[in-house]
Amino acid sequence: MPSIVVDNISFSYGRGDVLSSLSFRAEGSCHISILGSNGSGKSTLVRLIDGLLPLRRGDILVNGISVKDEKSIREIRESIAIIFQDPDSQFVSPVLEEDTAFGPENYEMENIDQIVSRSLSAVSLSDFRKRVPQTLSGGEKERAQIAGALAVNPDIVLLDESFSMLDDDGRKEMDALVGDIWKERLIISITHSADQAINSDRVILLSGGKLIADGSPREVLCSVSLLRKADVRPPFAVRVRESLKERGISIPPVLTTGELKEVLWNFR
Amino acid sequence: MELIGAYKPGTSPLHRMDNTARIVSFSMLFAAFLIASGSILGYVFSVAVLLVLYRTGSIPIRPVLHSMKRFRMFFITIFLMNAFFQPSENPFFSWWILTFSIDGIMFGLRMVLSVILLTSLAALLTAVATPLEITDGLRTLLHPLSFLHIPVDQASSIISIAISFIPVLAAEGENITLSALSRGAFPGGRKLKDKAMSLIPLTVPLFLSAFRRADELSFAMEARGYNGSIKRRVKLSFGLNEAVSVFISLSILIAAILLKGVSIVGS
Repeated sequence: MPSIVVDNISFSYGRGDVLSSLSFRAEGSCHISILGSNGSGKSTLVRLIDGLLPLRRGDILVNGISVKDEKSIREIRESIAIIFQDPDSQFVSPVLEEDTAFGPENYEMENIDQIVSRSLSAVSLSDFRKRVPQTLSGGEKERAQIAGALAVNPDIVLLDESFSMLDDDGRKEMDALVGDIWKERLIISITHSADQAINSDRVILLSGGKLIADGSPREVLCSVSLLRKADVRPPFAVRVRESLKERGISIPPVLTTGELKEVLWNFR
Repeated sequence: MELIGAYKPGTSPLHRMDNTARIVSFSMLFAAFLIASGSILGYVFSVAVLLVLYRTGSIPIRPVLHSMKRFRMFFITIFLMNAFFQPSENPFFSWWILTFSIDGIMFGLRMVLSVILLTSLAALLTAVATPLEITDGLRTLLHPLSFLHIPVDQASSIISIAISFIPVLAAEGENITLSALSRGAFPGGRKLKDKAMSLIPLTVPLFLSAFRRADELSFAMEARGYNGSIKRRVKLSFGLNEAVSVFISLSILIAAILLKGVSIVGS
């Protein structure tokens, strides 16, 4: 069972702590959103989990292995796939199939051709395997990134503001694809948008590098005061409910637009 | 105006070729053009081959030739260098190390024609293949050198990453320029110094952006377990199209060698 244990970590780039006394545990097949405004330490946390930044205070265990153990860092990275924000900054090979094979080659996996074919097929890019990645469209580039991550068959998937360069429909499509491909994996999404965290199983709210809430989307995202404290805009339905409340109209708590529609429909 | 070296997307057989097979074919064609140069028959042969190749690649040749006007000073220099330094028994005049003769003029013209033919062939290669595809082809071709511990993979990775970043940085440079213009910056005056000074505010953000991207790329590569010592797979998709192309190129090379032989025997 994939697991990440973040144990009282603090991290600084030199001036003040970016992350401060942060602890949480994530395990099993679930989707966790780490929500926070810009500068709340979300991306730093992703880099620390993958051992991309040196951790000095506290510890992080990935599948029981400490990221401080330099000898095991390869094992940790093999079990984690990260999809960063800007796909153009992540392509390393001139041909898509080679870019997809980059991870499996680094981990010296076998049957790389089959792995590449399977991965590209899973994201409907089989016909694009000979293409130069930079010439793909925005959505295709994101799918190419997913194929590269899929190829290493990770236990844990970290999405660091991935797909944020797409429009709403494109992002929803990618979220659905990720949910479909990795339903048996531990997925951790980093986001600054509360609306994007609605469909996860659990939301961890960061503010100024500290954990200020950890619970179900309904517990965290319906709490306007908590979100304001973290400088995060509440989800659309929650904002509408707040506006109505300010005008003296009270409706039951809602989280999704579907629920809001239902409540407004029955409001008459 | 058409740019020599610009990639033109398409679906022609030359576009669809395997990257390595394309480099092999074009290398043979370059060799054929070099061998065939020197005789009128050889030039006619090379021009005919070039026209057929442009037609096969669905690339119009007229704009390419038109854009060569910009290199006229270069061609004139090549002509003069060869026309005045070619030794001859019947010169029009001779002074110091300079000799001007009909042989020199003919030699100069032949050199200019050869350069135009080779440039046109190179323009065709860059029109049907992106820089990354060319790099990929070269990497596969040079792969055997990695067994001699020559870091072909690392070198080609560096080159292909650098090439792939050019359009990204060019787009960012354009955005930075537009942003500066929208905030009241004016392009420098006519003097070179003024122009250079006006570039400074654009250079700093562009460098910062390049460093940020390099940082992101290094994180992405490390996250995917990058290991410089790994020998990368080399995959050659050698189908019928590639076999036919290499065969035709080889035939052209042999024909050029035969033509050269005929012209030597004839003279």
